[in-house]
Amino acid sequence: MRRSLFAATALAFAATPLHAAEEGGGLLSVNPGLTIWTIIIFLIVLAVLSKFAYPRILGAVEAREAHIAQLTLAAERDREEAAALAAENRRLVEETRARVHGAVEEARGQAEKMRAEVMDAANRERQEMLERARRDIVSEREMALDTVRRDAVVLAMAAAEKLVRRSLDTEDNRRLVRESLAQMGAPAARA
Amino acid sequence: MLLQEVANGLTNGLLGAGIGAGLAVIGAGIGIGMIGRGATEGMARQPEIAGTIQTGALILAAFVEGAALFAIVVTFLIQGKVG
Amino acid sequence: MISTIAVVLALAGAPQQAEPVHAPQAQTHGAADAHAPVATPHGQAAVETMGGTQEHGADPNAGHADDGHGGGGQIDFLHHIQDSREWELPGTVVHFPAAGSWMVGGIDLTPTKHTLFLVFAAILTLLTLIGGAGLASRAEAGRTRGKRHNLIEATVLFIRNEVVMPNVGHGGEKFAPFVITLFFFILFNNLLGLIPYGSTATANISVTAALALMTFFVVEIGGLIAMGPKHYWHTIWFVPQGMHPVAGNLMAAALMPIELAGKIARPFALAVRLMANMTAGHIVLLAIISLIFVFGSWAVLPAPVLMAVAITFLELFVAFLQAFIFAMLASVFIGLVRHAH
Repeated sequence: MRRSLFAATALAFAATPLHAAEEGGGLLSVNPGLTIWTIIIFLIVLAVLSKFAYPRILGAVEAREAHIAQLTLAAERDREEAAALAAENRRLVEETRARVHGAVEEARGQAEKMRAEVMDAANRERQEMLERARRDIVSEREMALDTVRRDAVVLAMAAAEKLVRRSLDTEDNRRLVRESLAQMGAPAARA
Repeated sequence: MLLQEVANGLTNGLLGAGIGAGLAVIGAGIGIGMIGRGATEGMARQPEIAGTIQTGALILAAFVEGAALFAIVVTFLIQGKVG
Repeated sequence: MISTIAVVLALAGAPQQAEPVHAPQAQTHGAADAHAPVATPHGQAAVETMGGTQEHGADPNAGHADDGHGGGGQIDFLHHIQDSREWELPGTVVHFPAAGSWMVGGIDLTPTKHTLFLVFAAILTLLTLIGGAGLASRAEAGRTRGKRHNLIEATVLFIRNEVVMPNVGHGGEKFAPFVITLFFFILFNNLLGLIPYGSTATANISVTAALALMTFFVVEIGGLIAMGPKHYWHTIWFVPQGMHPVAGNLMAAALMPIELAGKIARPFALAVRLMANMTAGHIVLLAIISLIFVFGSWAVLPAPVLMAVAITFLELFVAFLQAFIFAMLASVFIGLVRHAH
């Protein structure tokens, strides 16, 4: 407030030299012509700048700000995209690992099974071979016994023939021999 | 004799104008000094708002300066009237 | 700053006013003298007052404290700073039309030295900002075009974002062109006085008064538009709320002159501050240079020259500071009225 009063006083003083002052007079003499010139020049400058300069300068700034905002947005989007991609990759890797693990497990299981099968088959075959061998042996032994028996019969016949050539070459004798042979063969076949 | 008195009057008037200017400067000097002290203390305490304080200090200093300038203008006008 | 202004303003008047007392060699020095043709040998004039050797006094006197006033015997500081009808250039003097040659409606619109320098400052402002605008419109998206564009854009943005917007507040963009133009126009006016043979138009109260007057109208009309006539009227005729109508109106009547004086004081302060600061710097420079003649010897030359260089740098700073303060205070005032009461 005091400032305002100062101002009023000063203005009252300032008003006086306004007319009294000729050029080259006091420091506070006002030259109205120069004041008007100043206003005219300033307003021209202001008008020209408002028309040609400021819209372009501020427009460039705004354009750049928009550009930067757009870049920031794009960067944000890229970042999100990258994050999504990374997550996807991680998921894929996990999935692949799980799948590989499963496959390996499966393969191991299959191998195990195959081995067991192979072993089984081998065992069975061996058993079969054993069985067959045993059967062969039995049959060979049968055959051998048969042969022995036949040979024995033939030998006994031959010997007996030799012994009883003349006497036994009849129908009765032959029947007797056959009967005795059948008696001999029955227990042998049963054995 | 009359001329002598007129001359004396002129010198006294100039003297008055000079003293007035000096007094105005003392007041403004104290005022701006206190603003400066307050501003620097404020900035030392809160450096993070140093910019705001500086702007405020500049404006306040301009106000104090303005008040002193009025006084000086008045002395200058007195001097102009005397001379 | 203020101290230099005060001392110097007192000093500034002194040579003129004190002359009859101090210069008994009867050199009447007044308005008429200031326009006397440059006829008297400067050297002789300087010698009379300085009492130094002739050669020393003469040469710098012609260069620095140029004397349109014949044989004043004193360095007339004010003549160098004030408006004038002639512009001294090396080897020549540009003469402007005599006072009253361009009378328009009772007002003397004759151009003077300061009118010319206003035009120079206006041209510099236009070149700078339109140049910046040209660079800006040629700039690729998202880039600035070189240092010059950066500098101009940073300054413009600083004034808009740090000076106008915080002080004016909402809707401050509309005032930004005015304040930015004020800043650059004042800045170039201030700087023109610092180059040799230049002159500071802002050291003239007529110029600063015009700038302040425009600010005043922008402030008040801006306030009127922003607040509406009713609220704006309250900034002049303020009846406090809850007061008896009669008492309130009486108080408003008592306060009105103060409110009005406050409104007028603001542009007045703007005008005087700018003028005083610009004048003071130049007078300090001249006072320091005049020490050479006071001592009248080449021996003291380095000290005043170094001091003058230092002061010139200070002036460079002050040129920016005062332009900034003018812009800042203009926005503060615009904001004050818009948000009053």
